[in-house]
Amino acid sequence: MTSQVVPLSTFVQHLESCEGYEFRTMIKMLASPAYAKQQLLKDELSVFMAKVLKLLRSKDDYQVWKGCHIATVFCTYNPVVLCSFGGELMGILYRALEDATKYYGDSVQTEQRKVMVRALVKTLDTLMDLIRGKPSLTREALTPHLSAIIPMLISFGRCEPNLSLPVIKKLLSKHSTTFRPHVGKLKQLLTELYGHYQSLDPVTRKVVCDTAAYLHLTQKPGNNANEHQAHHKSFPDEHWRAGLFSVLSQFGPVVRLWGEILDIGSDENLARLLETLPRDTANDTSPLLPALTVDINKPVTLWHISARLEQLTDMVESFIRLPTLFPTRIPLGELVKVSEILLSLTTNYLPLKRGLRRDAALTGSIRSALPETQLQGIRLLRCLSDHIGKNLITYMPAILSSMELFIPLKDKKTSIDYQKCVDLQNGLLQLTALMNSIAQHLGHKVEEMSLAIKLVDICAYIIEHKQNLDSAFSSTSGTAKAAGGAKKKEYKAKTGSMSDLFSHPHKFLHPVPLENYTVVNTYYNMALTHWKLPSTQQAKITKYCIYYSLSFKEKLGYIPQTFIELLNTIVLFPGKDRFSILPIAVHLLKETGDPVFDVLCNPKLPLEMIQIRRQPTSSEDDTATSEAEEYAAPADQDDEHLSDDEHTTVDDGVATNAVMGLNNLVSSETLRSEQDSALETQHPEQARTSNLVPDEASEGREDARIFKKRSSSDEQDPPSKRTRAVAAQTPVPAAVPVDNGEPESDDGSDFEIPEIELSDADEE
Amino acid sequence: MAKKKTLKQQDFQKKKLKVGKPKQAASNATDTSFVAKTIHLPNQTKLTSTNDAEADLLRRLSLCKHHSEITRKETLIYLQVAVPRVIHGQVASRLMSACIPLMCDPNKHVREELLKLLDVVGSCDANTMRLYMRPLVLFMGSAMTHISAGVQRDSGRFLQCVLRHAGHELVRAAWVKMLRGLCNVLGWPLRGAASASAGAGSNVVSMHKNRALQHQNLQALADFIRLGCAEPAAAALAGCAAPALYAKYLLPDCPQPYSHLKLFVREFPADTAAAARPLHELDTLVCEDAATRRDVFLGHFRPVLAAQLPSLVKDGGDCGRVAANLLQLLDHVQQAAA
Repeated sequence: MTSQVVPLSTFVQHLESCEGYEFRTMIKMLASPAYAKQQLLKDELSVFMAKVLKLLRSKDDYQVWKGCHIATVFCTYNPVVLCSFGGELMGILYRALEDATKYYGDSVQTEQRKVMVRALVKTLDTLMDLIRGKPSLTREALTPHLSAIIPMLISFGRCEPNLSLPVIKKLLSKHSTTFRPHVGKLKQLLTELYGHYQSLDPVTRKVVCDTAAYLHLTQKPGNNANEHQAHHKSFPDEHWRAGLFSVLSQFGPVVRLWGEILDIGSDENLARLLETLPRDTANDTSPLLPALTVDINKPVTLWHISARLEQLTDMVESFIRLPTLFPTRIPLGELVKVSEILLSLTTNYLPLKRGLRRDAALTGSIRSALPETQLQGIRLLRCLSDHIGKNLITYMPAILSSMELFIPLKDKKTSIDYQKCVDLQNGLLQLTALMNSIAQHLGHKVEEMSLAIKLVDICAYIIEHKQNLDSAFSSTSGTAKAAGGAKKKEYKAKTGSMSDLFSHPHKFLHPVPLENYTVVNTYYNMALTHWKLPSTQQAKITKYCIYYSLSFKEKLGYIPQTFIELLNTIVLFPGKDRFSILPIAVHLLKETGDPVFDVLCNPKLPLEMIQIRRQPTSSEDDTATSEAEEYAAPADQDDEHLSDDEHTTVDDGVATNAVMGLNNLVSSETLRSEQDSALETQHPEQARTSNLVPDEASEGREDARIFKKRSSSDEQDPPSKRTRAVAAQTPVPAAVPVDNGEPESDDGSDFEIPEIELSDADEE
Repeated sequence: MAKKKTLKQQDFQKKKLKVGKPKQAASNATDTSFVAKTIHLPNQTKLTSTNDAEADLLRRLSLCKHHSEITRKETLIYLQVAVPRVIHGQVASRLMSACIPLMCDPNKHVREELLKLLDVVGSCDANTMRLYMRPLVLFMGSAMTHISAGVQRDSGRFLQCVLRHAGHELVRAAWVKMLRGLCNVLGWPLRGAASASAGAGSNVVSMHKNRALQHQNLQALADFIRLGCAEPAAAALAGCAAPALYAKYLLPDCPQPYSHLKLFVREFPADTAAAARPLHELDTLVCEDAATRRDVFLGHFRPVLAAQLPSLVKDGGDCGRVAANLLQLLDHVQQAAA
């Protein structure tokens, strides 16, 4: 080995000075299994590791960063190093991290230092992952350090929650017992983070909620059960469930706030549902949420309600989404009820309270906050559908009917308000995505098609919006008029030229992201395959697909995959249309080609699909009683005594019979397979058979043997009646047997024999 | 303003005459310097039969626009004889586009001859009629809303003729339009009409003047509804050679199979001007399948018919008989939808 790899001693010399490409190459080489040898431990390895430890202890950020990477790579690929130096590395990493994070907020933060801290946390995380599960190593290296690492990570979580919380989350799930003393501290941290939840980025929000959910792993189940209930077998998820219920119970008070604004009493069903929402349970380890400030005199504060509901939904999602060691019981009914209530909060059907002041600011904020509230219901359902799937089926009628509530309607009418749809674009796309997710569990059984049809219309509108030149033109001119109307002169003086709006309206279009097309296409795909849509919607989808496929092809040079799939679906499921758009679709995909269309245009149907059973008509047939589907049967063999006129008449009979059976399924070109040559040899043999039973096998014995052999050698293309029919249709030139000698006709050499025989027959 | 003034001044400027130069011609002087032996007036050529039937026909087609109604009628009669010979040729398209506008011809006899001609065209080659469905629908719609009462009254007969030869295409292409037009012809106000009472009044008057023709329009309406609301499975697919399983994937046997997709039609936003028309929300519907047609009919037209027909039945006569049949048909359609 020493001769083949660079010895570690060489690395030792360059360790401190190397950088850039040199460092990268070194790290790559360290992953080699050549260094994972116990003999090395005595001299080279220990010297090298001493150097690495020195790097980690260094005050220089760059050296520490290098040390982190070497430690990660070396420990990952080298079990010897992990076992012998794991503990020591853990200690040093912890100390380095503690130093770095102690005055993290106070000291001047450079980008370099941030990178170093990130590297330290990642390395510590990797090392813990590597050590975990190895009994003695865990006992010696990990457990002693954990009690120090956890509080350090928790306090670091105040500064960089997105760095420390993923590690904490992992520790919570893997070392829930060790974590127990620190639960209080973590809870405090999470409460703080909940305080400014809305200012966190989405990834951190998710991890905060996950950590809060995993907090419920730390206590043993049945911890606080009554004494006389202790003998009951408690479920392992008791605590987890309690946590979920405590979050669910917080929905009630928030939703009831809407009761102050909307006249919930007018919908008895909703009022009853609201009454049965889970109530607050006293015992709980969940971190507390800050109090909500809502003031009807400051209408903007109404948005806080939606924000709080969003946070609560995030928290519930974590409980549903996260994996646990034990099976959990999810209160499906309660969850569906919550989402149903959230979705019912709409001004479509609920009037505003009678005594409410009607000014533009208040009604405007109510109308903008309500869809956001409904959106949380959609998100909850989406999460349920993704993770629980088919178990939702019993709740489907309720879910589908409440989903329809999200669609904005015109005031006091049942038609869709497309103008509002534009504002709710994002929400409606999420609704469509939810429908996609649900539909795969739903299958074809939907009684009420109105939601499906409405969604098709809405999707078509949303995706067209801001793309259609006409609508953009009218809308821009409209806004310009509205803006310019008020104080024309001052306005002109203050602002720039508006002429672009009128002369180049198409430059002001919003691009529609490809993801939107994907959602819509997936929905259309699903709708077309599952249901038979009315022709209006079918035509809408077809036109949309053709139009955008073509425009993408012209703009990008290719058609996105989802459009290709949609084209496929439209062709395969033409619905109530008279003709599928096969020619148009094939033309669109002319350059790339598509396997489905290829098959449709050049059908290669399974051969021998049409089988004609032989009917025993006369006594002479008894000699050849072979079944028709068994192609080659032993029969009389004096084929040579054929007369030419006999030959032709029988040919016609064969042709007409078989063509009738075929019923123009296949064109003759497609069926002129490589076997034609072989099949043509059959004509003389068939001459013996009667017209009524054209496929009776009466070939010569040798032929029979050969064909048996062939059909066993390649099963896909056994010679069939149909192929024979086609061969019979096309006149066989005399020169054919000579051509048949070409090697492409078959791979085996057996095939030459019947041709020779055929030439014999022809000569006669 | 300043510029205009100068232009005006230019007009009144007096050109100075100069010695040795010819007098300038007046601006309105006519040039009479040309010399010609003959003057060619294309619409007054003497028509003589030649061996070339198509060229002969082409020359006569222009007479469809002749000012004299007798000439128009004669031309149409000539065309009725000529059509079977040329229906598969290229002239057919010229013929159709020249003749179809005569649906709105003010003269009754011309319209009658056109009806005969269309019947001949349909019986010779129904596909020609299918191909010209769009202009046919356009001019039938025009006739149905025509200002002259006679043209309006005759529109039902044209509808019947097209129904006979290309009925399925017609109900697919113009279900709402034709129903709306027929209701207009019969003088029945539709829900949502902008000036329902005013529009209906004039029609009722004109219709009462000539009751004899009302039953024809009623019959056309009945035929139209019968064809449109029935599932096409039995009737249409019987003519199709290929089995229903893969018929959709074979080459279409009728012209313009994708016209309902409106791939080359530029659609304008609907809610600008169309909102005033009755039932404008139906404009964007595609009535390709019988279920949609039934829904549209039951939702929007059936109530109108059900309200108007009983009084016609009471009046009796031809109209009463057709109206009674139509009432039965309404019940059938209702049952089929349920």
